[in-house]
Amino acid sequence: MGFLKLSLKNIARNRTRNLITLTSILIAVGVLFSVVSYDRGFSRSLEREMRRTGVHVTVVPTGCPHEAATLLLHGGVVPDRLDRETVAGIKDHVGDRAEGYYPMLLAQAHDPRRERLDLVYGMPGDRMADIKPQWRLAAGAFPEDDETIIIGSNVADRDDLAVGDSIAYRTMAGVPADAGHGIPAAPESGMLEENLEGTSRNNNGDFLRTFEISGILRTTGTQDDDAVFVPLSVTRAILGDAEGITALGIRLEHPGAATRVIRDIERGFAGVQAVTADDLLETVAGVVQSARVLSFSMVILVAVVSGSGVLNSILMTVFERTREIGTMRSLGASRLDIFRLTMNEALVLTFIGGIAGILLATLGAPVIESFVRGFLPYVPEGRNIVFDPLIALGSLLFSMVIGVLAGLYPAWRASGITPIEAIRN
Amino acid sequence: MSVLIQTRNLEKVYHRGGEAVHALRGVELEFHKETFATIVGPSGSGKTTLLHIMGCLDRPSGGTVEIDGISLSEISGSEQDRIRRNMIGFVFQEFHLIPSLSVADNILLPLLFSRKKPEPGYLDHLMETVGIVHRKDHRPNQLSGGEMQRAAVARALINRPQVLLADEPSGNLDTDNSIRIFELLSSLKQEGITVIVVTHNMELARMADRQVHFRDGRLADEPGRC
Repeated sequence: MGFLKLSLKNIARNRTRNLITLTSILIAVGVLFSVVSYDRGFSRSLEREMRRTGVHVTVVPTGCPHEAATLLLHGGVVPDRLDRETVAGIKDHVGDRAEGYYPMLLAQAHDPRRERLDLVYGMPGDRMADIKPQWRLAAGAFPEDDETIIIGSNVADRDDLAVGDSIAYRTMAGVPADAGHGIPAAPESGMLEENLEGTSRNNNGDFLRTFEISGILRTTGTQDDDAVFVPLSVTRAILGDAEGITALGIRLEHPGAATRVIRDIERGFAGVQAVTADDLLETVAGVVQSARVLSFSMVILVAVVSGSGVLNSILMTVFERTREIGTMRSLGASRLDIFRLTMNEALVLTFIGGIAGILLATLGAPVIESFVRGFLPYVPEGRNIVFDPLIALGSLLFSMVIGVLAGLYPAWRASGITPIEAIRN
Repeated sequence: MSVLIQTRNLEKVYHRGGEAVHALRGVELEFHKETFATIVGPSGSGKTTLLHIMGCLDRPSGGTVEIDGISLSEISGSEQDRIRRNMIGFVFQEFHLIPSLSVADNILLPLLFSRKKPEPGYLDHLMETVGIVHRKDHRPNQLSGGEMQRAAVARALINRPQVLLADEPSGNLDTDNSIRIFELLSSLKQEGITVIVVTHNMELARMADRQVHFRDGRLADEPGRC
């Protein structure tokens, strides 16, 4: 029999109490492992996703840089817009350096038939796949005209929509679909009034216009799942804005020239800002940093609570076994032997709890991910919690550090028990 | 036979509620090797205190104790641990077996602290000697009082000590088991072990080669000195 076996036998004597202690360690290590894994996975996925967008530079009206990030990543609607002259001037300024332009216009639109307020993302229908190369369609095809749209998987699931079904939005009268920028977008019609098949006019003079669903996106795990993607002309009609766009994406012939292009745009045009994918990455990372700080604070808190649990459990054991410890001292155990035995118990508890926490966090990763997606404004698609041996090892070390810190005081108390004191106990 | 344990002017004072209680008052004693001695006397006479000091479980307030020429008053705590580990075996009135360990593991426990491996066959030999070989894998709570005390004796002997100190080993046993334990302890001197037993039981005490009588922390008359 060795010290470890003796410690294990001692642990087995107080099953219920040690199980509770193990659970608290399990939670602490599980949370730490999940948070670190998620943080690492999130950063990797985010970077991958940002690099995959076909847009090198995004021009938006001057404002909060978060809005630019939000825009590209589908977080919300930016109130200010770039006007027609500005967009034309930017195009002149960038000139041959651009390989293509991607005007984007976001709106919130109400479908009275479904009683839903949708986030509608307008972009050139024929170039949606360029802007979002990571998209895959679960069914149907990309829009071919301004009467067809594609929807995210959650929109389809929520309202039981399929390819061929329709969605209706209220549009403003008298807005020319392709007014403004001369951008060769998807085939867009002229005046909306000229294209009234399937529409009806209400008392305010607006049109309730129906759009056929041409495609449904495969689940991306991002906010795209909850959005509707329409040709640019549709969002113009919804907003009653014939000229403005929320952002202008620019695909450069040489992506390395992005910094110079940005400098040229920002020098040449007041009231606009241009950002690269790297800038957006940094901005999103800044937003995520707050969540990270909060998560790590939570980890520290849980660690303190579980460490206190281990300390309490081991200390109770020491008090209960005072006589036994004294007996061992009288049989020749040194103070160091008793210290080691007690410390072993704390370390065994935290080791088992740590392993269990890592296992549980790995197995429960999909549940944790879907839980987190409900809270964060943007989460990259795909799996963000991936088992990383280094993170697992780090989490286990963290658990052992809790064990050492929590075991020190009880071990010191136990080693101080004198045989005579214990025998008289 | 040479002297194994020697006390000189041994004093022990406890302080209880601000009052000094003299448990030992100038005790002068010698125990020779390979003898079986009993210490008898009324409760509070100081016999258990003497046993604890001779066993390195407690330190005297004054005077000296020597075991095999080593002065216990002058050595460090870790040296005392070493002496307890290698030279002394203890048997307590309440057995003090570890309930979570089997009888065999309880007996082997001192070897864990002395970092020794059990000698082949010695555990079985010991268990046979004390008569509990059939209880090897049982837990202490499955044993009778007599069996538990015999297991405790085997545990005290596993490290082959020079001296075995027993504090009221028959205190929790019936007459038959008490006699068996004393016969067992008495037989150990044949193995070269000095056995010193504290007891209340005068009848059992007479089984020893020597009886040391204590009263009020002092030696009383000492019949049968050898």
